[in-house]
Amino acid sequence: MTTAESSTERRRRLYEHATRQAILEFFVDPVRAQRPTRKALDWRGDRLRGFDLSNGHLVAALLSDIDLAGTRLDGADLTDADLARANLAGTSLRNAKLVRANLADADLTGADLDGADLSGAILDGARLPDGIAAG
Amino acid sequence: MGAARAILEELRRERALAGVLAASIAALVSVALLAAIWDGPSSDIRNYGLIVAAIIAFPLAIWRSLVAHRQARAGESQAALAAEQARLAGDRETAGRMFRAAELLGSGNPAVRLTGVRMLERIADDHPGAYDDLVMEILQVERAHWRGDAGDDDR
Repeated sequence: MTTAESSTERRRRLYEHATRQAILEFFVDPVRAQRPTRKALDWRGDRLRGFDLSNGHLVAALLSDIDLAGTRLDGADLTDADLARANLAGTSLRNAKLVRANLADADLTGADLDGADLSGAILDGARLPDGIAAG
Repeated sequence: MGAARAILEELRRERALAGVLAASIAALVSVALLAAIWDGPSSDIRNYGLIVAAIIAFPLAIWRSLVAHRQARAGESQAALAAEQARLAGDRETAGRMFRAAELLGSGNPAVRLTGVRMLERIADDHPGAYDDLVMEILQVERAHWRGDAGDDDR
């Protein structure tokens, strides 16, 4: 009985995650982002751990104080995004575009920045992964 | 409704004018029959016939062009009416889908909510620009529900 209950609960959680993932995908979809009605995202202070936002369009998004720990942002476009004080610990940012992004006081410990473009990014006070130095 | 009434009025007028045309044809046939039984000089008959034909044909030609113009106008308004009806039907259908999707989003079952999200996505994609704002707003509300949750790190 306990096993059946936990299996139901697990399925419920999986659907819950899929629903949230679908909603987030709608907001960061690069094709939909080109529609003229689209405005920059405002997810300041949100907690969005463990989602897959790879290749997402997050240009000029307001993401200060956001908790994205463990999130996948591979190939995401975060140009001009405000990620001040964001928790990006353990985040996968492979080939992500962080051009001119504000990462001041952000936590990037354990983040995978392989191939990420950080040109012009503000890294004042940011905690960077081992082996990467600001500037 | 106004456009439909105008079209009906137009058709009624057409019918009356068709009657005039039938009467004119009957007059011409009568002249032709009279010519067949006339025993005087045939050139007189031909001349009178031509005069009668010209008298009838001239107003008929004017009438015909007016009718053609009116028919074109009636056709245009019918097409506009049909397009408007199709647009309204489409709007009603989309509103129905939107309502249904919003209902599904309110479900306690996450699988049902996922269906609602997918429905909204489809609506936004079917009408790019038209319903995007509305769908975004609905999804923003849905997202606001779990904003600040522990996220999915506890899966």
